[in-house]
Amino acid sequence: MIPLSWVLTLAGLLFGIGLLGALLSTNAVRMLICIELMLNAVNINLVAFSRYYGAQQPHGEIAAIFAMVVGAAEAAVGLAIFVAVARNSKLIDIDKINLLKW
Amino acid sequence: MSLEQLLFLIVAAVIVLAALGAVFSRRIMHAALCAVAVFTGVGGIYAIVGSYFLAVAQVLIYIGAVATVLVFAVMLSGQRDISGGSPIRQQVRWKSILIWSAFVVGLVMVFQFTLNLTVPTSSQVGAVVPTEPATGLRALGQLLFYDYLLPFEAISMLLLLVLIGAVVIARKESDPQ
Repeated sequence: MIPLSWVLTLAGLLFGIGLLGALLSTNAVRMLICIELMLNAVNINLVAFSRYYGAQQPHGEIAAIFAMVVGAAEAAVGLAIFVAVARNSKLIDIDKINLLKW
Repeated sequence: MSLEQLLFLIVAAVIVLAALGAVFSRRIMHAALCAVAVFTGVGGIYAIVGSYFLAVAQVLIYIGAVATVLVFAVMLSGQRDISGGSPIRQQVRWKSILIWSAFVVGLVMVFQFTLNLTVPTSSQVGAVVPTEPATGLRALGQLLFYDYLLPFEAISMLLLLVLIGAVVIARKESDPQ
């Protein structure tokens, strides 16, 4: 059996790397990739706690399924927006996108 | 160290390295492929922890759908390469790193709290036998379709809205009807 702290450490590392990338990246697609990494890290935590503490009633896995679906929906809409933006301006540099900036 | 733990460590190393590659690689396509590697590794972690249904769902949703959408978006947005070389935002670099390190400090503190929380029940944690795959899946299905039926329906409606919305947004504006 794997110690719970190992899984939590892995999830924390993945979330930290994803957050760093989301804060630092210039490219909008890379930013979205990093947000997906963070969602995956949270899902690891949910599944781990569900497996270790609620094996009979896996509420955590249900939450992970919902997070997964919402993450997929977010990826679809976000990437559609980026494709629409990239059609007008050639590059998806998030410092240069000012369409919704007021 | 058991074989299971060794497998976990290998998969975890792959995940962390691929995540670093997704953040710091120069070409955006390499970042997308590294993200696929991370998704695969996370699916492996689900399987190692014992949640087989979520491992399959991870393969179907993330590797099947999200990865394809990512690669399509990289290609459709027509950017083979990042202009200027470095993928790092130069202007807000120090502010970002400051925010990030504050977050990491908070995360480590919470993590230590969790460790203290876990220690009294660690023998119990070690004794918990993961449920059989079939039983686990049955419990999952009953929970999803009895207790969480309304969120389930709501999320199916969300998926329909996202399907239509993504098509409407990504469509060419001067599309002749």
